[in-house]
Amino acid sequence: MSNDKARSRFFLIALLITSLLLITLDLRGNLPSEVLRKVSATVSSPFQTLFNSIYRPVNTFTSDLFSLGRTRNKISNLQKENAALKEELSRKNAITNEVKDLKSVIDLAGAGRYKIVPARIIAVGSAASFSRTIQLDVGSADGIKKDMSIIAGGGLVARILSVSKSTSIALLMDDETFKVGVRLESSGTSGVVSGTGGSDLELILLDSTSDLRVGQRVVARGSANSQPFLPGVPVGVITQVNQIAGALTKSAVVKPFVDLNRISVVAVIVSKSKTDPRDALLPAPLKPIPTPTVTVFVTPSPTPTPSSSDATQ
Amino acid sequence: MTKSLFFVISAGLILTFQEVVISRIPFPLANPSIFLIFVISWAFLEDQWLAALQGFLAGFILDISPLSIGIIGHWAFVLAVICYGVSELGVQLRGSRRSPLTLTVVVTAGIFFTLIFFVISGVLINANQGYGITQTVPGVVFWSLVFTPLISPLIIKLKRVADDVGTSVE
Repeated sequence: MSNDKARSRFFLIALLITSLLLITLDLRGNLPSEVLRKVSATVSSPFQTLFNSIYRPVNTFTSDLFSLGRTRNKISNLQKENAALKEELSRKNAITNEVKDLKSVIDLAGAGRYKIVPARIIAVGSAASFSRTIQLDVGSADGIKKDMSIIAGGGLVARILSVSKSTSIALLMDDETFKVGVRLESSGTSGVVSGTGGSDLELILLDSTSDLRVGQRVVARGSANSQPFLPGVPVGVITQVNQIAGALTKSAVVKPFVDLNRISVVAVIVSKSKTDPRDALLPAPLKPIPTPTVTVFVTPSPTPTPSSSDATQ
Repeated sequence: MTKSLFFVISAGLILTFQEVVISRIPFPLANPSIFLIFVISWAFLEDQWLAALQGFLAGFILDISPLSIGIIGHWAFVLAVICYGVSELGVQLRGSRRSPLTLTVVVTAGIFFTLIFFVISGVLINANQGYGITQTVPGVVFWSLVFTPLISPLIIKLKRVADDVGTSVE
């Protein structure tokens, strides 16, 4: 055993001396290293060709394997980027809509020569509270007071119920407790519009003999001292007239000019104009689309008379 | 002798496979050295003097490889020493040297010492080679930890075949 070990060590030393000899010869440039490597290349060449044919599938597999994590990261990053872009797009859309709403409300206020404070709706009362209220981001610090009118692009929206320093609460027009004195466009017939809890409002005319038609538009009559309602603010359009025989009053269904479920930007009227705008703030009426009429003239064909040949037969 | 010839042919083929396939795959850190795993695993299962000889021959193959730019005899020197040492350890652990865990630990450690020894001896003999120790050593060692358990059964089988061939020829 010890002999084997000694032989092994001796053999190892011999190998190491050979290695060192090779190293020395190579360092001195006495070894034909180039020739040796060329021989090696020639010998390994057919095997290189053989292994080369399996390189592509192996490489495809391993690169797929290694890029798995990177692909996952890339997908994750793209998803985040996509979410951020969607959020940005959504924000931009919201801003565009707000700008559009603000422009229309400013147009309306400009036409009525009202001094307004633009406001954003920051909260809407829960349906469980059985009231249609909204919270605005303006308050007493902005000059907002109780019972001021709130308008949006199309017309009247709500009135202020309570005011804090920086926010205010308003009652929407479709709340059942909401009531506004109105008059019909042109005729000046007076009535009261009240909320129904639904999307439409109810108009009750004080004079049952007055003419009431579908399509007639309604504007606020104005309260005493213009609190809470200013005269001339558009309210809605009559969509249905309720005919009740023998009733002391006439009623109708009014569709508000403003979709109360889709407003985000409104304006609180803080001071009115000196003159009543009357019907000037109403949107331009829709022109009726002419129905084409076709007149058909029918000329009767002459009555056939029996011929002489028929008579002979 | 037949066993060593079998080893040299296998080592040559594995080195070619390493250079043509494995080294072209972009592994993180560094490429795994299937060649070193094979040589050191083989040495762990071999007797000392044969291990030293086979290490020397494997090193010489590596030295004269067309892609090698180092000094001829450098790898032969390093692998002769390491293979002898690994074989000595294999003889000490004769009972468990075919266990995958033992083989993996010994081969990984063997590869680590091989690389370190190669770098140190390279500095001593002034062999101008770019080593990139910080990336190469951890990379090769890590991949040897991964690959040794996978390919060690194949190496053990190949060693058995070589032993059988050697016995039948003798």
